[in-house]
Amino acid sequence: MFSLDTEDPRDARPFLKKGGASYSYTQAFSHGDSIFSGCSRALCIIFCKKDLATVAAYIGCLRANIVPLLIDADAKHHWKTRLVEKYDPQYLFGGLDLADLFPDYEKKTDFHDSVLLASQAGSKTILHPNLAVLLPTSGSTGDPKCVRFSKKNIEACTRSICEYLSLEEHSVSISLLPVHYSYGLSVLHNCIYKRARYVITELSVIDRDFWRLVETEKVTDISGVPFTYEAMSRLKPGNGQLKTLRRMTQAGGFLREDITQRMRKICVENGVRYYTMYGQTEASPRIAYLDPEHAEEKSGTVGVPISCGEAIIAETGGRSGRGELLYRGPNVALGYALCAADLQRGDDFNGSLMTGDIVEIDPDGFITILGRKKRMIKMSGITFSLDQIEQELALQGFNCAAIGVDEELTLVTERAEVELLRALVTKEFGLRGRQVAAIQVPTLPKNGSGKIDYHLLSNEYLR
Amino acid sequence: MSNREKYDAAFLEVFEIDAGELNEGLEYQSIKAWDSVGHMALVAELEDIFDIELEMDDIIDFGSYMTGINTLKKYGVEF
Repeated sequence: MFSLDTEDPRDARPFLKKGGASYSYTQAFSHGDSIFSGCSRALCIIFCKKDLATVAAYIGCLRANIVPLLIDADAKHHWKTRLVEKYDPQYLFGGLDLADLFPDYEKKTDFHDSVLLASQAGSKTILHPNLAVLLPTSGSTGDPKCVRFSKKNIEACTRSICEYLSLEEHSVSISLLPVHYSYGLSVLHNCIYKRARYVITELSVIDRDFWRLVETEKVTDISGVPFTYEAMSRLKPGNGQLKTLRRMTQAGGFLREDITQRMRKICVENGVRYYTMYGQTEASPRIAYLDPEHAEEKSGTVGVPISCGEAIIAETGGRSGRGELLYRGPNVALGYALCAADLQRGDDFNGSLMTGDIVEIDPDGFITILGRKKRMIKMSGITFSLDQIEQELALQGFNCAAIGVDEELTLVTERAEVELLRALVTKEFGLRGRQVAAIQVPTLPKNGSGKIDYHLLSNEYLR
Repeated sequence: MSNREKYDAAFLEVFEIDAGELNEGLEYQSIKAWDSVGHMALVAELEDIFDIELEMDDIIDFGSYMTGINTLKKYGVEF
């Protein structure tokens, strides 16, 4: 992938940097190779951190034809064990504490402060030949459901993104987003494809040292989620901070139009190109983008489909109109997996993705997102299934109805302990108190077929 | 309500802590709620309450309960 297995004259170029340590492409490849030396095709769960070892291991997997499943190293312990049970991976890569968590695995090798463990019993998981990468669909609801990607999916998406952003080998990106998050992973892919630089940091835009790093490393590209730009629109960085920047991209959920406008103004004043983008993990992950040339005329839209794909109204088959967005393209993933057996599956989606988003496409092809068909919301850039939240809470003894919009979850319950419920859900799913409301009702309303009437609840309790 | 009381109320409201947890040693990242997202929420709340708009340097340097008081004084908020 991205000619990772062929020599490229640009491979001597600097690639990764964290603190005082840096790797060229050649060095990162050889570190990746050494981690997996002697390993044959198998599944490897990488417990991701923002460090050099995570990126080296990811590249090592791709070069050794090993399938990486990327998850957050800070995920809850019970979720990690659930994933390992469900997928029976041959290898685990992560921090030194990993050996204690998984006694059925033995240490194979170590690299910096990380270890590669191998299953003692030997994994029985069989992998489809086209399977290249796995990402969980949800950041933290504990759902083991993953999206299956082929190399073709990732290459098609990467090529299209690099094209519309005009990325080149002198671009420098910074790791505001983690690589276990599909948008964050695509930022890394873009860099690899162009042999550009990737600066790794745990800092955020509100840290002074972040802006120092942007300046000293001559960062050209910032990729952020709504929070990044909500913060930045208040910070109002000026030429002192933005002089090396060429582009900013926003995806990962809906950003209020007034904040988008403020960001555009800041960017125009500082010669930065600002892109609003839309996607889903299932599209590896990009579907559409709005470039600065059309930002004013088409404000409020998420732009047009990326060059390798097309947008269709599912109900009519039309290229414009209103309805559920059907996206077609070579970047649509192979399908989902719920357990190890699913990793033998081939292409279930056949290049067609029902996005579950209700949209309007104008005659020029620009897409406006009107709402969601599926019961999904995004919180701080992470997608949550409302049904999954209900199920997890039911397991903990709380029957409730979960409703919400992006950044706002409301739980309606018949029980009186609403504060306890709020505390439980914020802790369990890593949410913030302000994102969650809990309301007690005498009885949860049901519709004619005896199911919870979400429509009525949403009208009643959502802003 | 005095400005000091309004200032304290913003911390309690944004970080969802009890008055007992609020003290002069409170700093950025000293409690879970005061992370980057909490920080921006606190800034937004204080800007609303005191009808001011903080400069980038002041938002970034607002590293503790005590420095915040000095920052707001710069914007004419009397304590």
